[in-house]
Amino acid sequence: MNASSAITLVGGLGLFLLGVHHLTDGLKSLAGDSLRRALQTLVAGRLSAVISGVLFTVASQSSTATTLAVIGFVSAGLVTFSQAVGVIIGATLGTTSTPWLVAIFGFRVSISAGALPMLGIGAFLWLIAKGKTRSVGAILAGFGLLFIGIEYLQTGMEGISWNLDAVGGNGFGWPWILAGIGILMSIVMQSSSAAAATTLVALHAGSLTFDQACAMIVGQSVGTAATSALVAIGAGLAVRRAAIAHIVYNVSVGIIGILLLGPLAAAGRWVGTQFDDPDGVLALAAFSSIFKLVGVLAFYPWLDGFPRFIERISERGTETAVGRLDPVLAEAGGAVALEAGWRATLELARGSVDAVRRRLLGESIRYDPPVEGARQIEQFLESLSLETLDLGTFEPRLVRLCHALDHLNQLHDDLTRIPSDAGDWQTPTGFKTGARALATWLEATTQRGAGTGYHPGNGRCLATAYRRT
Amino acid sequence: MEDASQRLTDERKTGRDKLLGDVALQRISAETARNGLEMLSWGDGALYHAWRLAESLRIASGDQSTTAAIRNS
Repeated sequence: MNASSAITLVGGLGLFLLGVHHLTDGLKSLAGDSLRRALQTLVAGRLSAVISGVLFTVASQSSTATTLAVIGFVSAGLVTFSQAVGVIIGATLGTTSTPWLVAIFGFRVSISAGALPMLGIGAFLWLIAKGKTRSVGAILAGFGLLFIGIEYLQTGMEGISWNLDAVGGNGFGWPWILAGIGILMSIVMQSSSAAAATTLVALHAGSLTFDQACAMIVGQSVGTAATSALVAIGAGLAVRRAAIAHIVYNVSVGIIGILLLGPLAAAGRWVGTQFDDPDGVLALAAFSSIFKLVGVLAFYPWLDGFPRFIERISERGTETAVGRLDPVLAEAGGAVALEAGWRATLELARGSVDAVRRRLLGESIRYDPPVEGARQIEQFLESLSLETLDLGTFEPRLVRLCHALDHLNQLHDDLTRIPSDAGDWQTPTGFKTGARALATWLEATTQRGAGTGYHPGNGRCLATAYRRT
Repeated sequence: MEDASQRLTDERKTGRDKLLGDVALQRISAETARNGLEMLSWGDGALYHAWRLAESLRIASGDQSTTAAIRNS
C-alpha cells in the first residue's frame, strides 16, 4: 500500500460519508413529516411494521433515522415497543438499498460524468434556496458527493492489496475473522453503508474474493449494533431497550449469516449471474439483501416474543410520561415531541388536580408536588428545535402548553401551602361542587387502556381522545 | 369546572363577609376565622388554577375551535 493510495482512499471515504449525510438530511427534510406520519400509522401489524421499517429506510437512506424516529414514537407513548421492534428489524433490511445504489450507479450505470454538475447545482440550491428546494439541493449535492467519493475510493483501492488470505487464512475460522474486520470497519466509519461501499469497491478492484466480501458484509451488519450501544448511553428506557433489541438481533443474524455463509453467498452469486456482473458487485448487493432477509424471516415468527424477551432482560425503569421525555423524541418530529410534552403535563396535572379535589372534600392530605417533573417538561420543551415544528399548525398548541405548565406550577405552589382545618367552620357548598367538577375531569382524562392510549389503526391518539371528552 | 370556579369565587366573597361578621360578634374564635379565610382563599385559588390548567391542556390538545382564541390571548 502506498501513501498516495491510502490518502485517496480516506478522502474518497470522507466524500462518500458526507454524501450520505447530505442525502439523508435532504430526504428527511423533504419528506420527513409525511414519512413519519406514514410510519406512525403503518406499525399496527407485525408485517406492516416490518415493511414500513424497510420503506422508511429506503426512502430516507438511513436505518438510524428510522430507528430513532420509531424510538421517538415509543418514548412519546404513541406506539408500543413490540411494534417498534418490527420497524427496527425492517430497517436492517431497508439499509441494503445503499449497496444496491452503489453497485448499480457506481459500477454499472456510470453517472460519474453527471456527479460534478449534480454537486454544483445541488450545493448552489442548498446555499441560496429555502424550504423544499433547499432539501432538493441537499439531495443532489449528496448524490454528487457520494459518487465522486466512490470514484476516489476506486482510484485509491487500485494501489492497495488487502492480502486477506494472510489475515484470515483458509481454515475454518476465516469467515469469523473477516466478519470481525467488517465489525471494525462499521465501528470506525460509523456507517455500515460506507463500510459496504468500501467492500464493494475492493471487490470490484479484485482486492477481495466474493466469499471474503460476503463475510465482511455480515460483520459490517453486526458492527452497526455498536452505534446503537453508543446512542443508548445515558438515554431513556425506550432508547436503551431498542438498542438492546438492535444488538441482540444483529448479533444473532450475524451468527446465522456466518453459519450459512456458503448457501447465502451461492444465492447472491446466482442473482449476479442473472445480470452482467463480471466483478460480482451486484451479487454482493444481492447477498447483502438475501442475508438480511433471512434474518427477518428467522425472527418474524418470534416477533411477539422477542420484544417481551428484551423487556425481560433489560433493566426496569421509569415508565411515566415524564420519564419517557427524551431528546431522541425530536427525531420523531415536532408533532410527536409536542404530544409527548402534552402527555407528561397531563400526567402531572392529574396527580395535582386529584390532590386539590381531595382537599376540597375536607380530606387531610399529604402531597409532594412533582416540581422536578414540571421542570423536566419545561426543559424538554425548551430543547425542541422549532425548525422541526410546523409553527403555523403547532404554535397555538405549544403556547397553550406553556400556559398549562404555568398553571401547573401555580397549582404546585398552592399545594405546598395547604391550610389546616378551620375547626367547626363549615366550608361553602362551592367546595363540594368544585371537587365534583374536578372528579369529572379526572374521569374524562383517564388514560384508557393503561398503555399508550394510541390506536395506530385509526390514527387516534390520547390528545384526540381528550378532545372528544 | 369554569362554573364551579366562578361559584367558589362568589362564595369566597360572601363567606369572607360572614366569617368577619361572626368573629366581630365573637360567634367564632379569631383562629377559626383566620383558618376559614385562608381555606376560602386557598380553595378559590387552587380551583381557579386547576380550571385554567385543564382548559389550557384541552386547547393544547389541538382543539381547532379555540385556535383563534389562543392567538388573541
